[in-house]
Amino acid sequence: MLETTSLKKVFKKHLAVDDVSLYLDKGESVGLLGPNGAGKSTTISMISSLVKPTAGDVTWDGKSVVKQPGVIREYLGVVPQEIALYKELTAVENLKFFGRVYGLKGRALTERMESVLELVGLTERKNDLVKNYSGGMQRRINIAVALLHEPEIIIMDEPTVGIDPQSRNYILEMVQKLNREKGMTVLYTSHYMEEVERLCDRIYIMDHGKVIATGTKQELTSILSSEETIVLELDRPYPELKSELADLEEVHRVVETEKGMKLITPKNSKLLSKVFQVAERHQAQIVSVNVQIPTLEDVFLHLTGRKLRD
Amino acid sequence: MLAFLKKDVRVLLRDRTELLVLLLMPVILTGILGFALKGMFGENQVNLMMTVAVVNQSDAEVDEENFLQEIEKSPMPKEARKALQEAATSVEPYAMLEGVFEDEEVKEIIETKEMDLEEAKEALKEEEVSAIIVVPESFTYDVLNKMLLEQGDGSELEVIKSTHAPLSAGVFEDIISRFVDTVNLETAIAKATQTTVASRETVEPVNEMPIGSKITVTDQKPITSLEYYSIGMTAMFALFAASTIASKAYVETYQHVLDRILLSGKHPANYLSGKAISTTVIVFIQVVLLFTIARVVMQVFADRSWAFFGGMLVIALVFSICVGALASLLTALTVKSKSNAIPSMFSGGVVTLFALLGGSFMPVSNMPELFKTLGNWTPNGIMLNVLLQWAQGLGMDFITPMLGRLLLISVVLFGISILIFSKRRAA
Ligand SMILES: Nc1ncnc2c1ncn2[C@@H]1O[C@H](COP(=O)(O)OP(=O)(O)O)[C@@H](O)[C@H]1O
Ligand SMILES: [Mg+2]
Repeated sequence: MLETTSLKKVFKKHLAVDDVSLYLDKGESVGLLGPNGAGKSTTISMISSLVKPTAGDVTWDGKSVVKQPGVIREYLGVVPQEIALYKELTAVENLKFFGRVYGLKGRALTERMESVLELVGLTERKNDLVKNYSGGMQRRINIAVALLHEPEIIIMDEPTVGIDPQSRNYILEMVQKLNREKGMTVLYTSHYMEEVERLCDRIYIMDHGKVIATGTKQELTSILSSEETIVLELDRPYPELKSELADLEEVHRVVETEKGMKLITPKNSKLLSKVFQVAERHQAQIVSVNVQIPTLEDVFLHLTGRKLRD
Repeated sequence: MLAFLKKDVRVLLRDRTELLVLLLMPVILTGILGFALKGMFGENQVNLMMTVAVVNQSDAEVDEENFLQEIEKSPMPKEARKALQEAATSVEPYAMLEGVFEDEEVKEIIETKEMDLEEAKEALKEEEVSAIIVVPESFTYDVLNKMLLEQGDGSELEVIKSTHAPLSAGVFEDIISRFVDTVNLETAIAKATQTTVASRETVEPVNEMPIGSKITVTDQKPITSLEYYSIGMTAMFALFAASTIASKAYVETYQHVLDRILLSGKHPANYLSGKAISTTVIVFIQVVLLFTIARVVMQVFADRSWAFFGGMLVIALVFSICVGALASLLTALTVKSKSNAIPSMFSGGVVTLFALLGGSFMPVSNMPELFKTLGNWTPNGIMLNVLLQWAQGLGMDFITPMLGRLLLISVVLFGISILIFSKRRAA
């Protein structure tokens, strides 16, 4: 029902989005995974017709959104990456204003307001100023506003950035509920692979403005079906270790993690002894070693040589 | 549109600091400047001594003779004619006027000089006299005719005031209008007693006066420094309201609230006219509040009528519309540049410049001609001028062109802002 074909956006010679083609079917929950600066927000802005594409098209039920932004607007809810609210106003005042902007009024507006407040669990705090809310509550009311006009499809741009685990969990459950119980189509953008893994039927992985992989979670991880991930925990950081490990023939990718190193290698490569040798040469203490089945995170690492988050 | 207005007003009301700047600062500044610069407006000068030119274009004796003959020829009964002739010889309008200047009190401040009109005008220009009073041709005849026979239109004394010594001229004008009132009252009394004199059966109500007085104003009524600054500061701080609204638009831009509004499919022009309307309403409330405070707390314009304040409201409204258009231009520029630079430049420099040119700090009369002209194109300058003229008793028809100019500026500013704003979307 929503489709983009070869979307491209150039900001003053900087290529932000390059040849992005994706689609969403009714009732699907689709993830857009990528690190900061991958071009996710720009893609969303083009879909919602806030930004004009340099090339390519967006269609809604076959009609071009680029030519006629009106065709999608009433069906589309967008949760921006930022808290796009009046912080000096209360939640209710914000809802009322945006509801009016969307043409709701009277009883219908009141009912919709009550229903979305209930959904995001802020009924009790509805008369507080938004600026006095916690980060998680601000995120929730940010979502509530996008749901006021009962859209058929909701696009969420990193709706869980910078909030506590409970709020995050609350939001994830809410999205799941909207998708599974109300049949709402969801395009969920994130740089947290766990979220996308949990919520989405299909996933697009973006990097440097391009879609570099797409499929269900199984399809994506099967890219690495013949590989495994070795997670080394070290007593302290050893930056000099990285290049030496990368030089080992069987190691496809190396990346530093918080506590040590992560290597992607072919299955059964019998690499461990070589790794230990390198560590010994640098007098690095290995605290633990873990051999894992690859995750989406590892898929990204494999494809780009970088971690999703820095 | 109402939703936009409510939202903008709410957002502003929650901003205590801005509110204080917009409402308290002008009051404080009016007080400080008003008291500090009191002498500048001449309201406590005590020297009222002045010379007035009397231009007498009539000849009282010829007029009286003509009038008496007229009565002689009329078909009235003899007694009535006699009574009227006696009345006519005892009522001497011109002598009454002269009597005014003979009055001891008046003599202390007014010295009269007889001149012909040309001489008098020259003297006025040379500042040798402060005012001219013109007694028109057949003054005595016309007055008597109206007073005693109720025929003709009566006569009209013309007072021409000078551009210097406005206060003296004001006093003179007061004296003349008191004279006119007296003559008219005497006429009324004469009418009431005329029943016996002219053997008339009915006493007709007097609606028309034998003497009208036409005041040709060539200078300002005195305005106090407090009055001046209450207008000047209000005009200036209304401009700050425009930049405040524009910087709120900046917040809307970087918080992506504007994107959210545009997502709803609202035409961008809606957003912009929302800004213009909310600013208009906010500025109108601000202006009315400030004038009310000035009136109640500082006793400014204390002796004015309701009609005067009504006119002030009209002027304030037109001015508010212009500031609304200005806010919409600032908003368009702010959104386009995605930075707060425009509103801060406006509030940090342009407002002060406008305030100077428009005379908010100092009357512009001593400034170079170019500055005056520029000031007459600033919204605050026009507002100040128009309100001063209105306060000096010039009528609506006199100030309409300037109000028209304010509206013209509004239309141009709003048009430009729409152009700029729609360009943003195309980019
Ligand atoms: N308005 C803009 N002007 C110039 N560059 C931009 C603009 N918006 C985004 N970019 C650039 O485009 C790239 C993609 O940004 P974005 O779509 O926000 O990525 P993401 O949402 O995946 O973090 C980044 O390099 C960013 O700096
Ligand atoms: Mg983003």
